[in-house]
Amino acid sequence: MVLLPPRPKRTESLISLAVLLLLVFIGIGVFIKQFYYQPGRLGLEGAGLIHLSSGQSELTGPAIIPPLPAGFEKLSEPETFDSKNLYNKINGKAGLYLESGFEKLTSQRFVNAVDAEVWMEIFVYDMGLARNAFAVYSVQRRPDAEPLVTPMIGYKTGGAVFLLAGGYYIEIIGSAETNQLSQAMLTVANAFMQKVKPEDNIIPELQLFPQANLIAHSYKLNSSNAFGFDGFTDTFSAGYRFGDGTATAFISRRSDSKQARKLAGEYYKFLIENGATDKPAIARNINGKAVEFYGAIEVAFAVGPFVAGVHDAENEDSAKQLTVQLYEKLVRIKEQ
Amino acid sequence: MRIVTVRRISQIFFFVLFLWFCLVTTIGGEWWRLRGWPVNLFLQLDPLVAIGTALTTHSLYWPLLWALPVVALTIILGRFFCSWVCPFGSVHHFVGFLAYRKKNLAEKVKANRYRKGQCIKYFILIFFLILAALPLAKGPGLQIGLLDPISLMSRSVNLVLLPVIDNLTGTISVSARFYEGAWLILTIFFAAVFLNLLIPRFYCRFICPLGALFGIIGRFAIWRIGKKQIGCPDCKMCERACQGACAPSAKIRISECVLCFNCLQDCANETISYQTRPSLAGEITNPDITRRGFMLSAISGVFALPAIRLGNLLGSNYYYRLIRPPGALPEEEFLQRCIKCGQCMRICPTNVIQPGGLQPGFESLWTPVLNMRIGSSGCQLNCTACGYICPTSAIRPISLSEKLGLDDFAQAGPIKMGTAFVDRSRCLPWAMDKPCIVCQENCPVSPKAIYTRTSFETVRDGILTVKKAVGGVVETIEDTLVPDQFSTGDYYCLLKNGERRKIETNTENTIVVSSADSFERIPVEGEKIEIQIRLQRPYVDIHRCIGCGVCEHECPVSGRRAIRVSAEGETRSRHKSITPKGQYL
Amino acid sequence: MTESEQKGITRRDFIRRSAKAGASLAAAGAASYWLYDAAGPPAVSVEEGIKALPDFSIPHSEGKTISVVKGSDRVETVNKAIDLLGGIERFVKPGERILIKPNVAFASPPILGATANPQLVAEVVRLCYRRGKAKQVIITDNPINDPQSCFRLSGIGKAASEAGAKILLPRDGYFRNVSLAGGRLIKNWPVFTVPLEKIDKLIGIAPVKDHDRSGASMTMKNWYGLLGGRRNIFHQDINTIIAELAMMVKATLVILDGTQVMMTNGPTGGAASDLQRKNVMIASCNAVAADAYGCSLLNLAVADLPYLGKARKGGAGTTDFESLKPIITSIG
Repeated sequence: MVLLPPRPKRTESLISLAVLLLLVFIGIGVFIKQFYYQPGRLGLEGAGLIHLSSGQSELTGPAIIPPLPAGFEKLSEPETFDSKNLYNKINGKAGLYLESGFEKLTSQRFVNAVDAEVWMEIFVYDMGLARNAFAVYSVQRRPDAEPLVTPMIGYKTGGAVFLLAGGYYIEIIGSAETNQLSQAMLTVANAFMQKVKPEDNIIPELQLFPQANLIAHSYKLNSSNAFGFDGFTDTFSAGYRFGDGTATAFISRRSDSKQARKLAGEYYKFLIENGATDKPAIARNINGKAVEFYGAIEVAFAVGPFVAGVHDAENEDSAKQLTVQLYEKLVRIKEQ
Repeated sequence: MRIVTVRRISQIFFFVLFLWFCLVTTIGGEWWRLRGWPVNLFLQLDPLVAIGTALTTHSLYWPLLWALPVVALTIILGRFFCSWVCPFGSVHHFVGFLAYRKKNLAEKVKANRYRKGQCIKYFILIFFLILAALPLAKGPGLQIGLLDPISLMSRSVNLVLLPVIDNLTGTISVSARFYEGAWLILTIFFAAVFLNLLIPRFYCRFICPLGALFGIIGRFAIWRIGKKQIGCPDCKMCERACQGACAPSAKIRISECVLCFNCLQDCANETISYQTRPSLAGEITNPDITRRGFMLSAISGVFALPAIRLGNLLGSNYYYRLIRPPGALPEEEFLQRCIKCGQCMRICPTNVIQPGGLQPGFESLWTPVLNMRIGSSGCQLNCTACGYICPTSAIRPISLSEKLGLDDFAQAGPIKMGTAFVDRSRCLPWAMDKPCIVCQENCPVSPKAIYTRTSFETVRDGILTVKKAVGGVVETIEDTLVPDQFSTGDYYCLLKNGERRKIETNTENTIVVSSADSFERIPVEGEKIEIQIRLQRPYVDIHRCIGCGVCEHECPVSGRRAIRVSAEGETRSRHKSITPKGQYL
Repeated sequence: MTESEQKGITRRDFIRRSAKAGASLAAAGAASYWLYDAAGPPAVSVEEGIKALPDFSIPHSEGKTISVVKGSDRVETVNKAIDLLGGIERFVKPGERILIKPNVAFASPPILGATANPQLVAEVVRLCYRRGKAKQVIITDNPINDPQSCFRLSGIGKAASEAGAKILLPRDGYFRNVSLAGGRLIKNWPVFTVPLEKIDKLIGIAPVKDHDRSGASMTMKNWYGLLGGRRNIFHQDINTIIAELAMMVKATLVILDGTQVMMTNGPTGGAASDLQRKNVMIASCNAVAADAYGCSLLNLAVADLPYLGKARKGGAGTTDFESLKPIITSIG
């Protein structure tokens, strides 16, 4: 037979306390539960975000996005875009990528687990080839960039990190310029680099440029319309500083030497048609053409299948120097 | 510590928790918004919801498993939920306390005496359970939400009290929230609350079907209130504040006892206790249901649902303005799960989900219905909050991919809530010669479901006679034109030979067409020209329209909108389709 | 009562109550376990229902697939047409239940030719009973107009029941969802299948009619009367639905009545002038072949009826009726 003891007060107190304890546990349970939720599931977006594009391609990307950095959670699922709907994501900029061999874009957002205002969006552009990635990377390079530590090829500026990884051009854009976010973005950048072999990053054309007087990180690849001349597709360029003047050297590989010579001539004609004056002395001995174009010197010549030259040289001396250096290097390489 | 103190703490704890859950039910990641707060906890703990949906769907939706521990505890301990947890019960308890605070003992005991009418709640319960159990008219129906205390309180707080406070003080939500038919919800809530002034815990004792359910489940409770010794002086102190009106001074009615323990506290000579042996004064375990009453409620239950459904609103007479949230089950199954709790209406970020009225049928009362004219924008394209929050999956917790027809769901296509229809008799470009393509601009799907075709209409009094024309400037005989009326860029000048040029500007008697693109053949004196307005007229592509209602919301014809969403074509109901499936979706 | 007795009662009571409580707990736990639904309700499933109707066709017999009899008396021509294919005994075996699906779509009088001729239907019923020795012949259709009026005003109800057939009117419970394999439109669509479950042979009887949407309404379109739901939707893709109907229904025998052909204003007609007497009766083991022959009665070619091509592609039959060696003859 079960009976409560004759002094209920004590049992009553114990039971009361037990129930109280239970309430405390329930409260704690509820409090803990509220930390666990999927922001993306609720359509929670950080500040300034726009609708999910409904023009998504059916391609489900491979898991190129690296794992979350510590303290961050997924804010959205990876989205993929192919050439048909890239426009939906980056609008007018799509043109640049499309003409450079764009294959696929995978993007995803990570948000700070504690502060929903701190998030980053990662854009991974699969450009197919390293040189394509280099093209879109180099033409968008911000001037005030702080280069990343090698072996990373990239730079950071303001609240964003840009880098190259093999055939991928990666942008990591942050919502705020804070150290913590910056660190997290660099972690992500590093994770990308882990996936890339060093040789994937090498672009052979860059070896063609003479090293003397080269301005660091000034390499560029214009997929099209370099210097405003539509004949110059796939044109590499690099900046040089000679004492008081700067100049840009350019090299573009054509299908054969005949085409290279033809293109050099066309560039010369293009400049003359647009008001340049002939300056034969500068490039005569290398069988090239030189002009003065509104205060700057332009030089164009061909070595083997390469059309090369100098663009926007601030004075004749720098133009001459660079022309010679460039020509000699190319000739050496051609003879190898 | 006294048990009654803990009970009060428990009541306050759960009441505050309930209010907190109501407050945070808005989308967001801040601590005072939804995050991971288990806002459906009370509904999930509610065994009437679990049993009701189990009867209608023959399944126990997994979050409702929380009801099992509540049932288990009730079986063992008795009807603790009513006076320890239920927030509605706490309201009644408190108001009853306030109402009878100043009365003397005799009046209080009289208020708390057992009344035969306390059997009514069992009849209500039986009625609802029969409705849920028997598939008498296109399946069973779930109407427990009408009177279930948690649903009722949830509705009242979320759809009336909070919005009223918010609209007065502007503190709770960013913009004012509106809910149709809220007056009825408030009336019922206040009626229930104010009835406590007559008899304390009126609702709990006479109406609450959940309490009735607990009364039945708790019949075999191992521990119960009772007299543990003889020699009770019959002072009736135990009934001074008895919440369940269960007559602890006499033969206690176990099914009515809500374990408030006031009797234990108030008993002057330690006769009342919470014990395993039956009360020495005797006890009545079964609810006071007569066979006749049982038969009456059962028969009413049997007839009620087929009668309600005689309007064939589930068949060809469906109410076509009934637009349900995306992810809602087909209507028959929806009505087997919706408990009218109002959570979806509370969480909807655009305030477009409204409590339904009676027009789509009695069963639609307080179920979620979209009213595109209320709120900020129709159904937002990339939001799935309503499905996420629905406690019984009447609105399924769909993913965004399923809603938009992406990835795995690309073949099935997006979920359509209905189709928009242009009312050409009200649409500005169709009927009023006024350019407007707000609907097309705002259509959120890509490619857009609204497209336009351009046409030109000669404006009223728009046929003019040429007096003289030079280049692109035409002087007319008529000189009563309103200056600059035609310079909006929508007006064109049509010549006899079919040439049409955009009008740049006009004065009282001249029309000036754009100089860059003047007439090929200059009109001569006496010739007639027509002023035309270029109209882009909207058309709905029914294969692309998802019925989100953004167009209806944005339409500037603000009364009866010139483009309205109608239930035809909703993906959840094949019989409302207007195209055969297998067509391009 | 002594104290020990008192304690005994209390103990018994406690045990009893505990047992009941335990049983309730167990029941609650069991119910939760049994009914537990971890997935939640699914969306409307894409494909469900029966995949195919029973196959009522009989084995092919060379040269005995399609017969054409010219004559003015329907009773005579239909007897001859069936005899040319081997007689009703080839199609109806003793003791079998036969379902005849005539065209009873409209509540129109027989002289308008919008529905199957009542005498023709009655004759086929009689043949099934007398010579075929069928156990039962059932007549049914899911008409466009009200079923009772249709059977009454078309004359088919009276004629058929006088011949001994049972008239079966459609009810909600007789329809089941069918998803035709290879079909695009008949997916999860209610079809009048329940009566088909209990029969052995299926015969279709249809007049030759012009049709506004599809060009013609003959034996294949006749099966539209087996569709339920809001089947008007399929008029948006009429040729596909007729083809799918032919793919779905494999009848024993179809009879195409070209005695009085509705040449214009079909399918309802409305005046005697819409009809033209062509005096042709066609019996066929395959509806596609019957329709392919029958379109000539409407001065149409096979190519004029897109549904014929679609049905052929869907494997429902051949439109090259010549290859089936039709037996063509005339009476009187």
